Amino acid sequence: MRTFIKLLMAFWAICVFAVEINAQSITVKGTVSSTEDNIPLPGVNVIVKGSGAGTTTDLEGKYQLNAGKDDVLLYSFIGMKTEEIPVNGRTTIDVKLKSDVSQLSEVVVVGYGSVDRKLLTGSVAQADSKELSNTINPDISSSLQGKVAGVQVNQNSGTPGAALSIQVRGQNSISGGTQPLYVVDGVPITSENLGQISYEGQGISAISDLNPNDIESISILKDASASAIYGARGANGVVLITTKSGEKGATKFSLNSYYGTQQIYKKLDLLDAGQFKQYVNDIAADEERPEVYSEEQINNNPVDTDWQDAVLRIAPIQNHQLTASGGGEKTKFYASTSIFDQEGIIIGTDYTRYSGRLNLDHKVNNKLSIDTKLNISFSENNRVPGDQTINGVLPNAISKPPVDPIYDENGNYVEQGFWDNPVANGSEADNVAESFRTLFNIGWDYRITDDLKFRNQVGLDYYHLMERRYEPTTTRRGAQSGGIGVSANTRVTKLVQNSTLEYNKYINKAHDITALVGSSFEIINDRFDFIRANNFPTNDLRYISGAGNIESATASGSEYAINSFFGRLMYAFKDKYILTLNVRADGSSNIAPDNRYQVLPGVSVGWRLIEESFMQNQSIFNDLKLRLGYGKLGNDQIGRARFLSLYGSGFNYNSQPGIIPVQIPNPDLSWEVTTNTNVGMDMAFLSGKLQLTADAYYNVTTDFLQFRPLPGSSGYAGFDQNIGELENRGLEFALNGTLLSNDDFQWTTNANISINRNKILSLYEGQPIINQGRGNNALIEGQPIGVFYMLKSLGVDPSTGELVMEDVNRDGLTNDQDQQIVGDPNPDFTGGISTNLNYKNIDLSIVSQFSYGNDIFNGTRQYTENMNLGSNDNQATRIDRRWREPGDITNVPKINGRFNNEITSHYIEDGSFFRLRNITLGYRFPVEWISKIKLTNVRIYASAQNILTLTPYSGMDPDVNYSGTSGIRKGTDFFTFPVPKMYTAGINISF
Amino acid sequence: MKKNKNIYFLTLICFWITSCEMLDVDPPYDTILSENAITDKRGLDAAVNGVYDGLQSGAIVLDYVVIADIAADNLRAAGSKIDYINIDNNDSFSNNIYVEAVWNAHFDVINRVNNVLVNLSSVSGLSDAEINRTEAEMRTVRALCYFNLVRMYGGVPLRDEPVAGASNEELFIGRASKSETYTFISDDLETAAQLMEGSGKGSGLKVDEPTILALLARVKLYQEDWPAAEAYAKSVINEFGLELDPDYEAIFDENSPSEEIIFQIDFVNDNDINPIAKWLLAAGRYEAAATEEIFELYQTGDNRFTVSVGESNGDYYANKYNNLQNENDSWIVVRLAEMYMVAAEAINEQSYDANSEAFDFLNAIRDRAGLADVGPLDATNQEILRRAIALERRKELAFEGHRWHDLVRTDRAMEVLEITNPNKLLFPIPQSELNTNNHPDMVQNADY
Repeated sequence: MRTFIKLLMAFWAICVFAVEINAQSITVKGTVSSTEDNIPLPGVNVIVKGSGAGTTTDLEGKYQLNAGKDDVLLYSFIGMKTEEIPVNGRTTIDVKLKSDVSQLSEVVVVGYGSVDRKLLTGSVAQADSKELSNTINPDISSSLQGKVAGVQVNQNSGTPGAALSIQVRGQNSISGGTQPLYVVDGVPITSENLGQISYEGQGISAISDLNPNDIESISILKDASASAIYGARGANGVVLITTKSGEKGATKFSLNSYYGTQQIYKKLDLLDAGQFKQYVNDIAADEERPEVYSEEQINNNPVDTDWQDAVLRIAPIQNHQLTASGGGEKTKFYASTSIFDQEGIIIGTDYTRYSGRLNLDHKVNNKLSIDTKLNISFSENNRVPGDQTINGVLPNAISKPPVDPIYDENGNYVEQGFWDNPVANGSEADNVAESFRTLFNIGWDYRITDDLKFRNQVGLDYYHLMERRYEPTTTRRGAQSGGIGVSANTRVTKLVQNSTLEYNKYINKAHDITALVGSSFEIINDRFDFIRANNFPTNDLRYISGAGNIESATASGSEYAINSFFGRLMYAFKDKYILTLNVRADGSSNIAPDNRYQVLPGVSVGWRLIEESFMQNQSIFNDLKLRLGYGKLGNDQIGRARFLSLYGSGFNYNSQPGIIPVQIPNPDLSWEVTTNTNVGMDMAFLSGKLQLTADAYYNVTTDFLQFRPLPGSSGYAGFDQNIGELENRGLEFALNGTLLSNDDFQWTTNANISINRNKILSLYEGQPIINQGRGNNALIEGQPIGVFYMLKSLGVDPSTGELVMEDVNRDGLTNDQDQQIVGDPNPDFTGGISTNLNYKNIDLSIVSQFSYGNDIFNGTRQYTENMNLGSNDNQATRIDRRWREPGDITNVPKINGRFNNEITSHYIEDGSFFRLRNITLGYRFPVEWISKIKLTNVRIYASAQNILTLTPYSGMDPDVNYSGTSGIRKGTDFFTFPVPKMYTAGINISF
Repeated sequence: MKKNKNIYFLTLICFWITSCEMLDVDPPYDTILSENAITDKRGLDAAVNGVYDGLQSGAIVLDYVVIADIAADNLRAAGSKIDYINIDNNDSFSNNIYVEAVWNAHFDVINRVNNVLVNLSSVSGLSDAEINRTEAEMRTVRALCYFNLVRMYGGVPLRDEPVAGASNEELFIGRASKSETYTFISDDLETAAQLMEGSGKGSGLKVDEPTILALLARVKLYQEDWPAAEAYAKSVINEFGLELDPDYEAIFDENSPSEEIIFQIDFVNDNDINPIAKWLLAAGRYEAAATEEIFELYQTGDNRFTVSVGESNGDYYANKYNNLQNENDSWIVVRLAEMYMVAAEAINEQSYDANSEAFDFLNAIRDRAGLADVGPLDATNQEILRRAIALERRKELAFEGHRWHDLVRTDRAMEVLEITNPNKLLFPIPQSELNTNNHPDMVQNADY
């Protein structure tokens, strides 16, 4: 370690002292306007090239900043072509910008800084607020669905406020965390689901605490050369979120509101009461029992409950936000408050978030500036038990026979049959999760010289989740226990410090150098308590204090710390040849002391062929850049102290305390390391109207951390070990086109497609890990993560009506030896197409998303089509096509078939889908109308979300997974809450 | 330039604030380093409680108990549990979750026992009596676990040392034979009996002397060592002042522990629940229903009838576990009535005699049930008496985890349950064990 630090110091010394310091600062000012109409442009970014220092123009298009005499200034503005103008000692520079939709002029946020996209050598995708604003979801990740090549976003569940799962370039880990690192304004934040009461795949998203409308841009670092600067936690990609800042000028207010309704996209076709009775009779006949219902009872159905209708509803969604921003020479601010409220389409579910943000930037003097960002949010999330319990609302609504009534004649809930009354469970029980979140950070920028900048940033992320459940005696389960209550608190505090020293120099108009060194540490502590109790005196007392019997009570906590040193060197020669070096050393308390520090480098080169002389005479390309990157990334997300031999507490007996051995030691526990190679190409054609970015990558994760199952006979379930290798390789293409662009009419479209192939290269001693979850997902060498491993159904035997299973080992028996790989939950390719049309004051945007080649285990059908559980369970109308007599050719087996309720490929379906995510039509009122009432902008819009899904999948929604973000239990629908379709109308007003 | 250098220096200091030591964090606060866990009497007592806590596992107090009746003819799978249905059909796959859970739960307890035993000699401040008592308790619990395992799976891996690391030698152990397993069980129980000799009856919530002898009686019965079974059963009946509870229903009343119970696993204020009532009652989840056959078996006037089986709207349900509200029904490991049944059977198996004591032990149970005596005129030969004892045993111990094992033990399972393949009398070894245990002797049972 010490050697390393010495080396690092030497590295700094070289960076800091080796280059001659030669800069005389002058103040440059001027006006930026548009070439077309000479109108001044407010909000243009003016940056001293290579330094990141800069300003934006005010309402009159004026700017002023300090720059070196020999510096080059970059003028960039969305929709305009970036201009590069050398200062040459001038103090006034007026600039005219040409219209250009080229994204190549963007400044891209990368770790601990930003870079001109032109000079970017890593693979980074960026989406700005304009692209993000349309999607209606409390979780910002949702707006990335279908938008970014190489980023697969799955909704998992339609539960309001629920966590989405995001995979950047496939899954690079299995149990060591599979979700990317989220960094908000430079501070890594808590993003995992920390709920203690399980609602299966409907986890709580800690990202939901961030109001999407406060977000300026999202950058996704996809390859090692980009994310190595976040080293140890970059293996799953890094999502950098930048929030909005105030702009200099008169205070601007804006009001954004929308309101809409949501409803189920597709109900399941289930038997009605008459059909159900006939089915029950058919079972009885099959079992040679007398018929249960007479002909008259079948035809006469006083009770015919459509349980789906009983628990589903048309639910409102709304959001209201007021923002003020502005500032003067020294201080700028952005302030916003918002209320988001979404009711779920299933009774008993809703999500409400109140959030406020204040971002302040203050310039103390020419050397020192301070920025602070404060986000406070409070949310209340009401969920209902999900798919893994027999008191789940949607599962019961699907399973409960239509002959059961909801209420008796007195209006009380009727509890009969196997399944609880879902209306009672949805309406009567409390399932509240309240989160309080504070994100605060303060940064100090000190410009030591014109070229050298020191920045220190301290951040705090405070997250408190309070969960409460109460099942009153008006529910069946509650009645059995005199009421059941749970109270749980989870608190996570994260303290982050990072310091960077950045050096920028543009030498002789040719050598562009940026060097950055830094260190950071994070200290995270978790605290939790959990109490479960029953026997309450009345349903009016719903908190634990009322309970007569405490069933269990626990409280504990843990610590986690990570300590890092990092550096980046970027060198560009005449914007032609670009070299980027990243290195990061991380130490993590999660890793065994002997392996604690890991050094992770990244290197990438870029070659802008377009600048070469031999390219000057061609007219095909307007830009052409080759990128090549290589690097290593780590992952330490494996829980605390997994390398120690530990006893656990709370294993009590007869009111006496008990302890037991819970963990065998693994002193070799080490980092999971992903090695990544990336080749990319950025191209622009037709005067920049068509841009294509193509990337190919190859990731190998070695020593991936996996809970290695031990033989049950050892007494342990398993332990964490670095046991295997897996690879992800893929191709990504992103195409942006400007189909039309003139004064009245702009039409842009972009499309992306990603192909990822995931393969497990090795597992511990080659041992497969099978039977994971409801869909029997498995980890098998040579196969993608989570393949479905089960008996393979060959169809229904016309002579017997039985499902026939392939007898793999030809021993004449059908048993576990005949299990095989029958499907893959990983898609062959995913992507999206979106388009934006502007005609005068009218705007239209359409966003679509697709996924092809992924299989789904439809666990719902294992129950709704098994015809094997007697009169307990309602069935799908599909069973009408079942085999009834020899000779019937059908794919639905007979009643009481041997394999009807086994996990077999009979229930595997193609989960490919194409979904129209969002269509928004807006109208901007002409300025001459609204300026009379002192408004600067009024836009109204209507939007429709998820209104069309094309899929062969027979379930409610192909974009679900009952197990949420699990790394193994994938692609399984088990009575999962579907994503609703949504219609909204909204208004944006600025003044 | 000089001034700038000072600033660089300050900056470097700033970086150095971060130090390496901060990575040495405490383990999670609900855990303790193993080396500090069992060092004194408090730690030892807690580790012993941890062993009993292991016996509270749902796979033992619920699944193991219920499976014995589902696989046989007292219960049938009636709910959503597909894995119960397969057990009901006597056709489980090796990935059956109960087959796996029962295996893992028992070995978990065995490992906890072995951890206590290996640390016992190094605990400070213990008397010899305390050491002996702890060793006896631990060996008995280990024997109980192995006995449960051998009945269900046949021979299993035998461990008398804890797993301390992850070496293959420690992790991979092959299956011993069925007879080696029984020898291991007997050794543990006989050693325990010596260590605890004369210590008498305890609270019934932990292993005591009669518990050890009762388990020995049961094990000897399974080994068909009739004289030994008879002797152990009689010593339990005679030497500890135990009495059959005159009120059969009171045995299953959580609130007033019955004198008849020799050893039970209790659920009070210990962060654990036993939801067996929820599983079995028609008013609960009703995952397993009583069969019509067992319902019909009880005659009117048998005061075990309604205590054992209930009926609600034509649904039959096991009624011995009632604590739906607090989910704290005890698991009765062994009670006195079973010793009477063991004695009766062991005596009859040695020889039939019209004056046989077997009648006395059988009739003691029938008297308590409110039924007329069975005499030599009713049971005129050994086979008839054998059947009478078996029937009485079924009715007396219904839903207490005996039926399947009794049928298998007495070679009647195939006939009674219409099982055609004798290899299906053993459950499969869990697939997870086979996948992770690379020992060449870790093999699956035949026909799985």
